[in-house]
Amino acid sequence: MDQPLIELTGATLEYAARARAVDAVDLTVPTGQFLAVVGPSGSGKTSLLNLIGGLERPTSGSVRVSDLELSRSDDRQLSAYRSSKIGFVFQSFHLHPSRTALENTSIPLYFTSTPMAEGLARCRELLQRLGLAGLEDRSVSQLSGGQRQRVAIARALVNRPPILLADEPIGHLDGETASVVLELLSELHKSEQVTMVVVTHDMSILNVAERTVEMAGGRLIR
Amino acid sequence: MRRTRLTRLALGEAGASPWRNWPLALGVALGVACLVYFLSLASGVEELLRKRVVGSLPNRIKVQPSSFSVGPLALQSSINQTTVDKLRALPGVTAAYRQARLPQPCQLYASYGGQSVVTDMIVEGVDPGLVSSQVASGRSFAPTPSEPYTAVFPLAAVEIVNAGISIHTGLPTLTPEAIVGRHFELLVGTSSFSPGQSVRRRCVIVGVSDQIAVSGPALPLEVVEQWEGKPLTYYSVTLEVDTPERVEAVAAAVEELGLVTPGLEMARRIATGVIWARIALVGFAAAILLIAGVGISTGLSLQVREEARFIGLYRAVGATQNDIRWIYLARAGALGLVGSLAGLLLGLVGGYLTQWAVAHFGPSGVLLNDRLFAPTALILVSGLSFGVLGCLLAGAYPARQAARLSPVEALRTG
Ligand SMILES: Nc1ncnc2c1ncn2[C@@H]1O[C@H](COP(=O)(O)OP(=O)(O)OP(=O)(O)O)[C@@H](O)[C@H]1O
Ligand SMILES: [Mg+2]
Repeated sequence: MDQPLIELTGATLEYAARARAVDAVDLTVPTGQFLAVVGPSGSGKTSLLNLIGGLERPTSGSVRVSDLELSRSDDRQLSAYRSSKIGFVFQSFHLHPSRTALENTSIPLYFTSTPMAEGLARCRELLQRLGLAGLEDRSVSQLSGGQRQRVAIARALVNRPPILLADEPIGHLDGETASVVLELLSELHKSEQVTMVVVTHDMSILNVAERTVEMAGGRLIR
Repeated sequence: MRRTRLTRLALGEAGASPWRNWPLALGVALGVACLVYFLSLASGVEELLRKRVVGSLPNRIKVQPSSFSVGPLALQSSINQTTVDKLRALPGVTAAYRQARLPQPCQLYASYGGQSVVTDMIVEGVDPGLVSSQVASGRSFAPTPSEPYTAVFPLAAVEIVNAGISIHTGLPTLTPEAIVGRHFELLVGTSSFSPGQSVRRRCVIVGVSDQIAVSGPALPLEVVEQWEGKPLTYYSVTLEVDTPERVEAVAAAVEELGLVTPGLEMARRIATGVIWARIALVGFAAAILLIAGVGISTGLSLQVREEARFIGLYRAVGATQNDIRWIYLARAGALGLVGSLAGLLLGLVGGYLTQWAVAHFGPSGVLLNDRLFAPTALILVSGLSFGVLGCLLAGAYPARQAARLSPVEALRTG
């Protein structure tokens, strides 16, 4: 059995003394797994994703991804890690409303050394695969919620990250759009061997996920 | 490579909503414009004053005998040939040009704009080398065996005629070019104060010079001594120095001989005066730039707060703190560059307009061929760098603020 891709040991994230958003979590995720995280609001799900994605360093304990110990990495290392290993899909998209779909998708390229032409070609290909062909040059403010979430997913995939972290990716979407996005995620998981950590309440995602963990009060309870 | 990309990202965003950013560059433009306008005007005025007082040739020193006053008596000594030889022998001196006044009274007759002009004058004789570089092309200033005698006219007299007589009589403005080749007559031996026996001498103007006395025309020294019938003593000797840098050293040696260099002293006084004026004007421009800088700083700070969500996103997709800092510094630098270039243009246009207005609507003949507005490469380059560096300095704080945002906090502000 090869070594797990993501390994949290006693990982703790404290915002204020005694208020632990993540409390001594032990969690291992093997390469290629589709992991769902559930739990009530405020239980620390987003904080857990932030730890894995290197947006926060644990207050104590360790977060290791491949061979990189995130708790001991500096800003440059963490940024390079986020750029090359992680794709984030946020609950609230975080798209630039006045920019086009293509421009939004290409943002991660600015922080890499991928040749721009090659990167842009990849952006177009992704938008096409996500069913947004013909909408590349449309401003994001003129796209529907489902189309926006697909732009956000394309943006997360531009740098071919081995890990995709998604926070309530279909929370804002209506049933039909939600199932399109979900189908897309599971297809990506299958075709590209992307390791997925998805925060959700949604039963349809839980059905697709290979494993589900539950959080409460910052702890992993199941 | 990465920096180039980040700059493109930064400027692309500024360009996406230009009306938000470019007003911030206005203050910079104004500050740089003031800087360029004032400094160029100051150097133009300095050049002008220097020319009026010291003459337009920089490596020359006008030497005069010192005057003593003993009670009510002012003793004015003069320079004799022995002293001239000593001056010629000073190290660095390549030539010494003598100036002597014709002791006899003199009247000038000329026809000007169809009217006859008669005026008392003091004629002087000078070594031709003193004015040879200012003689009109195709003409020569040298002793002639017969009439007409060649003469050079003082530039200041042209200006006095323009400022005084022409304005009241409606006669045309005189230019140095227009009077070259004109003839006039000198009645040597008479004046309106002491009428007497006189000899009529016909002269032709071959040039206009700022090196001679303002009280009348100058003729070759040899000619004037001939008219007088005996050698004269000199009221002034102009030394030519091999390099402008040696002027001060030669002046010191001249003072050791008991002579004075009044023009040089005046030039020093003008230089100090202009330096203080410059400091005051630069201070004024710097104050404008300071206010502009504060505006840019707060403007960018506001943008950092408004764009926190995108800063958070950039961090999430791989931007380092340095990348974020660069993005905002690049914006500040671009504002500085655009503002400064606009300022340079504004300052230059304003300066040349001022010069044009003074030449056309100011007292006539003030400028002739001189510049009032004299921008130099140094002034333009310092204006540009002042503006750009000022903006980078103003952008430093917001850039730091942006770089220090916690990505998670920044994303939550959406
Ligand atoms: N920046 C912060 N400063 C202080 N407390 C914070 C901060 N971020 C999160 N918390 C706290 O940490 C806890 C976990 O927050 P987190 O956002 O991880 O919960 P969550 O499970 O994602 O909730 P939701 O389902 O509502 O998104 C909460 O109690 C929250 O108030
Ligand atoms: Mg959350």
